[in-house]
Amino acid sequence: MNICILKKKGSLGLVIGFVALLTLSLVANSESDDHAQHGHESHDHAKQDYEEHQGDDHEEHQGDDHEEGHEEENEEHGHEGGDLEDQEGVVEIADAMASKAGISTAVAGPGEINKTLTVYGRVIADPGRISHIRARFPGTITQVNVSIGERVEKGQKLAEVESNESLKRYVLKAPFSGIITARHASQGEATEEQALFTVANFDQVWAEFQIFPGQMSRIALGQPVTMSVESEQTTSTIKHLIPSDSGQPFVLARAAIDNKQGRWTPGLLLQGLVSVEQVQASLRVDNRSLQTFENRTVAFVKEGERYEARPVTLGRSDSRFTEVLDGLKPGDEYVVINSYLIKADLEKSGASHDH
Amino acid sequence: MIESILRLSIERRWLMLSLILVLLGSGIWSYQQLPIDAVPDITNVQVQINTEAPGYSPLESEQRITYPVETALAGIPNLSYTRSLSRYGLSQVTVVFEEGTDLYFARNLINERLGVIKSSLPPGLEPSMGPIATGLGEIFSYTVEAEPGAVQANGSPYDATALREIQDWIIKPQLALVPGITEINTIGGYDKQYHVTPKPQAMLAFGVSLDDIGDALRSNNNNRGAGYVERNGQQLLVRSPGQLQAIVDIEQVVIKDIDGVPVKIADVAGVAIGKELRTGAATRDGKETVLGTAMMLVGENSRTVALAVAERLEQIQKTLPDGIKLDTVYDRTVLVDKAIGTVQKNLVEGALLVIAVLFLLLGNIRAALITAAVIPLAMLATITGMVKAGVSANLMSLGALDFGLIVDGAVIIVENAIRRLAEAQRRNGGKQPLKERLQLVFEATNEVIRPSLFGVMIITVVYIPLFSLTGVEGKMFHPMAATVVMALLAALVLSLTLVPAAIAVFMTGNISEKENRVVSAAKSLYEPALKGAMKLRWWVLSAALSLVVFSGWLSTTLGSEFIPQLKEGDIALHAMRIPGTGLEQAVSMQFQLEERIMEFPQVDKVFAKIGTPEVATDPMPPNVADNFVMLKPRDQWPDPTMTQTELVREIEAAVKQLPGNNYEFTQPIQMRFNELISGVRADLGIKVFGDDLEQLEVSAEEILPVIESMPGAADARVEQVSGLPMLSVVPKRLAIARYGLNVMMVQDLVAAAIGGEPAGLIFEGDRRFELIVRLPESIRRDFDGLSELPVPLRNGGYVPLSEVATLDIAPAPNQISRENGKRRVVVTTNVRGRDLGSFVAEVKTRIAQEVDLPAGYWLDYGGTFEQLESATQRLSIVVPITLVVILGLLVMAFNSFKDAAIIFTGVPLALTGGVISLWLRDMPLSISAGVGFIALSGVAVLNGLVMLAFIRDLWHERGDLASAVIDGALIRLRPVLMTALVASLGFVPMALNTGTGAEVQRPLATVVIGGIVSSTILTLFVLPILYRLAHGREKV
Repeated sequence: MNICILKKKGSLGLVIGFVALLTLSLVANSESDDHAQHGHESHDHAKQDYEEHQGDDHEEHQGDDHEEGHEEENEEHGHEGGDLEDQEGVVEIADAMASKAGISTAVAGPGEINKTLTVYGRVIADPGRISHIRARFPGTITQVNVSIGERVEKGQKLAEVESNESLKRYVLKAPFSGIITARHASQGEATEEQALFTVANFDQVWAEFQIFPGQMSRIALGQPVTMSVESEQTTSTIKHLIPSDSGQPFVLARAAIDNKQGRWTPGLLLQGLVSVEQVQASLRVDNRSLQTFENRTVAFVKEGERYEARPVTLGRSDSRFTEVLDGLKPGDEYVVINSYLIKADLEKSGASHDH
Repeated sequence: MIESILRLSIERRWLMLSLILVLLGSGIWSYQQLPIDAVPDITNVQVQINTEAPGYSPLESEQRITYPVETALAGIPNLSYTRSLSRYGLSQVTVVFEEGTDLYFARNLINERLGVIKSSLPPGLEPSMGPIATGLGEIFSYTVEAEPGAVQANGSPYDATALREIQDWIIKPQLALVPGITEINTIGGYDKQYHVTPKPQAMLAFGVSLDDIGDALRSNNNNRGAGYVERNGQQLLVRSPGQLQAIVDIEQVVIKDIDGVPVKIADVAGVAIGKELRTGAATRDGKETVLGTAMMLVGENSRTVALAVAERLEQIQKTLPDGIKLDTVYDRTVLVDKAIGTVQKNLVEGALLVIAVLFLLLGNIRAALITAAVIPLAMLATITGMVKAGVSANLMSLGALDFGLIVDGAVIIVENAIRRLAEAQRRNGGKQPLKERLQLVFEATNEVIRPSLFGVMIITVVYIPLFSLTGVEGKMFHPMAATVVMALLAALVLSLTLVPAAIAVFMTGNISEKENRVVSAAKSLYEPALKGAMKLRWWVLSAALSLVVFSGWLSTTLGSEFIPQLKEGDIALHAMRIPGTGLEQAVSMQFQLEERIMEFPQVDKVFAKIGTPEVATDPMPPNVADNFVMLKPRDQWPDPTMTQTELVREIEAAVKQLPGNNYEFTQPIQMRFNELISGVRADLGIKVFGDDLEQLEVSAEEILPVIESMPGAADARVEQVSGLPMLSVVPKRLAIARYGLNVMMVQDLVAAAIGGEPAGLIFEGDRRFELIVRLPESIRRDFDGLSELPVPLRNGGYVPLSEVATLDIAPAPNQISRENGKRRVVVTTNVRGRDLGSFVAEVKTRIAQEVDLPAGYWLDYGGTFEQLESATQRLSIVVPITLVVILGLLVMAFNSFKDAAIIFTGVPLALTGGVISLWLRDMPLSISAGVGFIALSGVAVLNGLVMLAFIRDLWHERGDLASAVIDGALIRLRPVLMTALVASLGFVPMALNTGTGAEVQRPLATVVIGGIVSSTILTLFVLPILYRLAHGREKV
């Protein structure tokens, strides 16, 4: 009987023990797999799933770092990105893949850096080429030979005036070739003191650009400037730099415009592209090639199928090219188009999807 | 009471039978209402508040929108917590309510609060609540495609903008009307916009500012109603139409007048149909596309709704312009049909097997049919109950239904009844009169009703611990437990009422209860075996004991998983690029990815969503793309035997070659759930709360090394909060003052120049398109050009932007996360090879010692360890209580603790078989398997109960223990075998099925089958031995 009771108790203990064990193992299982399995974190579910026959997650050594998702970022940081590289900032991409991905390269070499500055200004007529013609002796206008808009040559007869005092007729002549832009004289009128004709010559006009203090340091006399209005375009150089006389904080940069065609009328608003610096760089790269990688500016140099992030020290740059002072050698093949892809590949293990 | 019910059932037997009709009726009606889906919905009660804030950077959207919204929500009843996300152009606050809160009530509360704060938000921003949908809501996706060569009415080929217009104005309004659809979410293409793109030079020339242009457009684009006049008795409505109709109209709008000459829009700006600054794109098979997703209202039947959507799409197709076609890319019906097909197949095959066994063992077709009739009737009652309880039919809820278990009670009753009837007929040599027969049926039923009632109750009780699970586990297993309990209760009621009535009605003629060959063969084998076992009792007992110990050890060697993951049959993958990747760049990277994936012959189509859709249900930054890879039917694969796992591996290896992408593989529904439920995804999350983002990051970086240095820590990392390059245009206050400007004028200019300024709407019938004033692309994209952008001065001059502001590119926060109204940065870690509890404790003390947080900063610990703690705590209370309850029931049944304990030994014995069968099939322990063990304990107890009750009665009758044990065991062989066989065979189809969704059910079935085999064998031998040992020295 004793034995029986013992047995009974034993079996009871066994039952409870077993159920406890089951409970424990269930709990333990959710514990160990929790990060992978709690439903809401189950990006890893898939992993669990697809690797279930392995039953564990020792995948790292195969380099399948992304399977671990974000969780391995730190571990993998620094040598992430590709397949075999053990060096920081190096990635390997097969040429076929690279060309498919639209990665194209260029060879670093010397070239011109043409730094420009955009300024705005207006076309101003040359004051020296505008003449307001008056009658020398007051009198009556007896004859007018030109009208507004007419082109006149130097010395061409504009009008005839009969002097009140001498009653002699004298001729008003054009002081230079130009266009009659104003006429206040008609036959029989008294000349009074007013200007009878305005002759203007627009063969050369001036562009006056506003140079603001922040731009001043870059502008100098003699710099070439490309001016454009709509589709018209012409080039010139900066001739004068004069302070504005209107109390404004800018300086006027003046450049002469050859206007034989008559397309640049005074008052026109111009956009000017001033070449503020034009140098021959011993080494320059395309701007599209430059990326920021680990807080440094880099260019990606291609060697075979390896792409290496080279930190570069940059000099001057224009809208297309940048001078390289250090970091690249002439003849280095570097990535121009889609350089972002290389950066993306290098940093990709850091790419995660946080909610 | 039981007796009176039985009497009533037998006397009013026809009434009872007619109740079948009621049951049938309600069951069939309920079946129409039953929500059907593939998996249970595990989404919590949550409401998303999205505020679109075009142009707002993360910092601004947090400060101006997220903060006021969050503050307004404080103190809402039933609030569990809030979390928020502030990104470029979007503020999303997710409000999570306590479980059980009515979603509509919650939305109402939020709506009220939002109404109050509307005035404190920046003008023009409208917070709106996300669709009334859950993680299972995205049931249908389609793309809008133009066939090659199709042209628009104006002769140009369809582009992404034109397709989007068709989606927005033809398809969506029609589709949104489908009952059960709450939202049509669109991603891809461009919203059509009319763009006025002023040239800075021309603006300077004419002295026109961006403001002037905006004002001119606004004041020349309106229709006005002007009342009515009566004319000769007739009423004339008066109206003055002035809306701009077309590009030509816009060009002719006069901005100002210089010396009598009007300056028109055309003089200073180009006007064209342009592209919005979109936040998301969609691609398909390597091309841009427009993707529409139908979202189902909470609680609808996904299958019905998806079918209705498909049907409506077909109708819509007819209304589309020539050459445009709608193509379904994702349809939940496919998965649901497959999953439900699997369940149905399992259930039907299981039921057939059960019926076959019944017939074989009972040897009486009427009896077999009566028992089998319990199956459909219980099922119908269960469906009625499911509809009432709001449980949907899915792989999980129907996954533990075993018709074997359900008919157990009925089997015992029917078996006893026909045995008694046959005996009586043998005694009387013919049929008995009606009254006698009824009495006999009553006695036979009454004899076994108690044990079978207890058995069913015990099986029901063992499911109770499942109800104590909370969170995701709770959502997964509550429906399962509820369904099983309902089915069992239904069967219980049926075996109390209908079964006796049916026996009384139908078991009339000759009861041909032949001891059929199977049973007699089994008996002839069993008798010597049992006698032998009685002799070798100590050997048998120690063998059983060592088996238990062995399987206990074996269970620790099994792998473990939470729940087997449903294989949805399609692949989803996140393609992630580095933060800061532009949308267009991401799209071109996506093209390559899709082209590569399409090279796989198994792939039917692949489509992706990049960035944030129109309704920000899943706000992803542009550097993340959700890819969906739809596979062809297996028979079209080059190698149909290839598993999906292998295919995924191959795809993964292939796409890894593509530069710049990182991937996470998952499945469509799974992905959606992750997105909705997300919180801290690691074992332990240390949340640093505070004000200053930089300080938060610094503190988090201080915590990281502490954790990394601790044994057991794995994958520790700090949440990525910065890294989005940002161009800041910082006004120079002095310079601004000097030029007579103010900060707002500069900011307005920058905003209008880069982001564009809305200047009204252009109507084309119903369709309305925004009119935007924005600088031409060539200038917007040119960083140098931007610094020289002329800023108009009040006196008519201008000054370059660089003169009044500094332009600076620097990394900035790419998103700001908040929780419960405070900024936070999370340090997460997983724990490997160490118990979580001690790890968390050590983390807490070490951080307290080693990390110095500034005033106003505090820590909070979260992560899955919390759920573990609560689950462990709960189970450690509930499981013992359940055991005690079962024991109590047994003691009640037998009035003997000893007997109850003996029956209880069946439990560990049953578990051995379960563990061994898992091991044989190479399956890990999971909660599903755990549920199997739970069911198993019930069956084992039931088996023991049936046998022991009879042995005891026999012993009390005869007074001789030894013969009572042997005879009792022999007599009970048939019911024990039968209940065991039906219960295990009922699960066989489930254990062997390989269809969609079978993997979810397989472990449970495997455990039950294995366990029942072991439990039956052991019940047949160990139980009699134990009984004899326990009562050997007692007298009756």
